[in-house]
Amino acid sequence: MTEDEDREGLAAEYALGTLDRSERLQAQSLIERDAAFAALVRAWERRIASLHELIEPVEPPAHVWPLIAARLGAVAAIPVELAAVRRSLRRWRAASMLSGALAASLLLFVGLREFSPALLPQVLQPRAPEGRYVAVLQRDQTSPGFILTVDLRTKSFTVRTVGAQRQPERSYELWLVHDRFPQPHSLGVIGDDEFTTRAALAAYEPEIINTATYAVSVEPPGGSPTGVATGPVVFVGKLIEVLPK
Amino acid sequence: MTVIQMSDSALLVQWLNAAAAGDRDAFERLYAATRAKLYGVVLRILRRQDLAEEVLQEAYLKIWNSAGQYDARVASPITWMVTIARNRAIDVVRRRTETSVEDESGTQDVAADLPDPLAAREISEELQRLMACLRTLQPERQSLVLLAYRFGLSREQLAVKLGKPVNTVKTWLRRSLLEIRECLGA
Repeated sequence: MTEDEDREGLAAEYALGTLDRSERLQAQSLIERDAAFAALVRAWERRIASLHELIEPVEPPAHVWPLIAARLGAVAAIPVELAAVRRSLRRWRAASMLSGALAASLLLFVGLREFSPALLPQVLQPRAPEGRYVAVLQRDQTSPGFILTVDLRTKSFTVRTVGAQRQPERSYELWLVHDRFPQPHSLGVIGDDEFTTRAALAAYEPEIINTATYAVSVEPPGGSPTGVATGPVVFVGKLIEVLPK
Repeated sequence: MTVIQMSDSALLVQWLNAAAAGDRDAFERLYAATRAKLYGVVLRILRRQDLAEEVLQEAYLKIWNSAGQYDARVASPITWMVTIARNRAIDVVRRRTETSVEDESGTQDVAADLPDPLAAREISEELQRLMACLRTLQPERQSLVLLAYRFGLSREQLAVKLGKPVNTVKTWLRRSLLEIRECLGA
């Protein structure tokens, strides 16, 4: 077989699972180093994946779910950051006449899906601009509204609508809140499509982008007419770095 | 027993996306809808309930942690999840000693558990195409591929099963898989 066929064969056998232990480890190492090989493997996995339909389901024991739930990991606000964010919010509230009841009910969510808590302080420090950063803008821990992804390289962000309901006669507006600014800065209205991408972060330093709080308020169509949030803030979050794909 | 229908796919995607945003309730629903499929897959590879339970947990943790990378344009949610679970199960089984199927205690009769691919069942268009391509192979090579997938067998184990040399199995596997790729045209 040719060298190409060898690679193809290795990828296919890896996906099927027939490689012995050392070959499997070698293939896994190759997947990590060689994106083209990784793509071959993924293609093979997709080719054979439908075979799972031939496999009869078997109910696992009931005790398994609690074990999984317990291991879902730290999903919690970090007290240190919470204090800083609350200060920002208080300032913002004063500046924008936030509804008191809503301000009190905001919970901050910092996702730690990809990192252990021990790593978190490093992550929140200013990083080289290659990073991809994500904020989950949430009402509380079970109501994600938007996912904000920031690319520090291009200074652009993408907002993905997840759970937020379209409100009639209302727009959602995205704000950047930071200690360094006396008032929140508008990043524009979030569009009706699932994804909204904008380069509106070009004017900000990476450190600001990294440490800001992002929030979404409900505004009249087209956004706030006054330049500050006029409606209730319904989703809030902070950025954490995610591992590159 | 709940069977994942095609129409459920959209729900699974929604739950995966919500899980990506940290929604534990959605993840629990995802688990409820998919656990039997994933457990069935890993149990047949690991052949031991204690190992299967552990791998099931690890698979769902991986799914939770990488839900943000799931792309509905590339794979259906259930195949994405099954692939994660299956890969983990094979990692575990390959790390254990290379024993033949018969050495494992509590092993089911491998042949008896093989499903009849021609049996009437609701299968996806995707699987229909794959089965059509499989049927162009000689029966012994069809078995090779199906046994490998279903039970996560290594070449050595397949060689013992079929009473052939390991190198023959390797050649047959690779040729068969390349022919399948040709046939699928993708």
